[in-house]
Amino acid sequence: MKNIFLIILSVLIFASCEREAAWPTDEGKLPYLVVEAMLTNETKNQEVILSLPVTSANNVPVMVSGADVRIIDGTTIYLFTEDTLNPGHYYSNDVFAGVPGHSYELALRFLPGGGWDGTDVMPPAELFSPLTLLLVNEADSLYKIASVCQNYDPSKFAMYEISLDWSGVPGYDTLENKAVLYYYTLGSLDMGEVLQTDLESVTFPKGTLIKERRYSISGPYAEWLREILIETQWNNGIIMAHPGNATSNMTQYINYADPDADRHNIAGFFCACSVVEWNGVAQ
Amino acid sequence: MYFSAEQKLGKKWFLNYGLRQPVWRNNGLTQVYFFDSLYHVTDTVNYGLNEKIISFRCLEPRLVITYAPVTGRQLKFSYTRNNQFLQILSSSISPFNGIESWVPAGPNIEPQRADQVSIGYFDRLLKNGFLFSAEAYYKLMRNQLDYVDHANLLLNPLLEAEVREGKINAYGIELMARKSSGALTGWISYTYSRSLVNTPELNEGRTYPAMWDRPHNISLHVSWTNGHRWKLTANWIYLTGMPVTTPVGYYTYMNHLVPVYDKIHNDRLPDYHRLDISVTLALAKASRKWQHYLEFGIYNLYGRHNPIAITFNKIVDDNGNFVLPSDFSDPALINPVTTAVAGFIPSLTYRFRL
Repeated sequence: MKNIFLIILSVLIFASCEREAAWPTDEGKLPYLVVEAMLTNETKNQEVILSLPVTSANNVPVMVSGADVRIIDGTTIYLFTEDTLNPGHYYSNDVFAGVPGHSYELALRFLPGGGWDGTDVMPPAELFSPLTLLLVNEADSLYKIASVCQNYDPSKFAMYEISLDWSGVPGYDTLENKAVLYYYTLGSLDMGEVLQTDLESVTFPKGTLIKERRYSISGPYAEWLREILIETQWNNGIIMAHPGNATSNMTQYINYADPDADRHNIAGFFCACSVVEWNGVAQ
Repeated sequence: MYFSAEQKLGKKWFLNYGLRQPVWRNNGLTQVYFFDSLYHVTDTVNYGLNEKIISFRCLEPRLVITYAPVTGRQLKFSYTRNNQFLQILSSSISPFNGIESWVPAGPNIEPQRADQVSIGYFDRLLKNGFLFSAEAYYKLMRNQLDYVDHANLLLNPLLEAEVREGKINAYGIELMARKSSGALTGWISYTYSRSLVNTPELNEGRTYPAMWDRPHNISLHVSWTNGHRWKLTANWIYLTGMPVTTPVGYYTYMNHLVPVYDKIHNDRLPDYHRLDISVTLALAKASRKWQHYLEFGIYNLYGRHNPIAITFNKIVDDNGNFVLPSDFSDPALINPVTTAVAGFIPSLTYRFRL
């Protein structure tokens, strides 16, 4: 039965024809703000990014300045200040690290919209076995990633961020020489994930610097990532899940302009993640 | 239980009516989950082998009134009610793939119920060899399932929390003219139909078109034979484009371009139309018992690109192919891409009949 399904799917994929379409974006209600905030267990100035949605694909988003940003850990409050050279990027005034097991709250105030908050609990960090590589072109010594997450455990949600840098390899200093790839362990199973096709191929030469970071993530953040992946990397036009908006953990607690008005939706997520990092070289 | 009767009232009126009572019962061995208003599990009940979980009894009346002033001309009114105790859930919205599972009516899912009224006119007397029919209908379907956003339907024991119940109003009119005698035969039909869904917990309670809501449907079939061995046929169909949900905006998250949606099925794919032709040669004389044919056909003669899907997440790779981005070092430049599965397809078929 599985073979028949795969044969039908292969026929559909190979017989299918794709064309670029001029498709104007429909008008509709957009989220009020977009939050990109990841608190980690690394001692550093933590970052929160605020932007606005765009009405057309590939438009550059307008960054949100002048917001009041803070992260609250029980009775401790960490204040954030906007980087004047990089609007919309807010950094904590103090260097600090998140502590696994703690619940953190991100509180935003942005007039005239109001105030929003969201919480996440930081899971503990987990050691991991590094990725493996596959030599795909012996003549040029080109590699690609063969596998990530050797010690797979679906109950431990994780995101793997792999940064590749081959700018230091002779002959590649003028070409595209950096890439960032993501892999996930989300504890869910989706058709688009299982039968993922048409993925961009990323190869890199011998000597590429590899940085692999494993983020331990919470269940709600895993669900959020699943939802945005369904809309981005797990939808190839043949296997399509039911579309929808990813549900943010940020909710509005007050609308200053009109306390009785409907609350403004916000997009994005505030997550608290523990990170373990591995560094290596492709060889 | 079933009861049906046919009655003739005078020379021109005919009556057909009946009543049916299906009974549906769910038995164990199984485990049933119960949910609160937010679809969190509040209770889990284990049912033993053959233990009753729930049962449904429904009445299904039906009535057909026919007025036939002369033979070959009819005016017909009908009413029917039907219940269905199994609903299909698919893990994909694509019509061509996905893992489908049949879900029985139970404590969390009511049986589907449909009431339909229709009135039709059928006439064979306008011209010899011609048939004309016109039919209008209205159908109200209750307890129809639709999916929550990003429904998780694969290997999910809490499947019933991923669907919501609503109702569908469907109505339309169907017109058809058919010529069934002579060397040239064929038919032309036009249907205007709507299927509008209202699921209170989805789309902020706003009504939206069903996935199969395609208001205009034209179908033309022409067949010509020389009376001996050759037969030429042509089919042309036209359908309004399928409803789709398309973004009203986007935002960037970790360099992923994430679409924002407002209403379900706010948009439509381009209209679907296609011309198929075929030539058939009978390889044996008509008097022979053994008949075999050679048929040459072309599907989609003018190679229309009829999309079945549109995506808003693909980039163009170095080879000019549309692919899903893997590298998120920078925001990817996204192209809206339509996918069609069948273009111009010639075929050669050999058939035989004993």
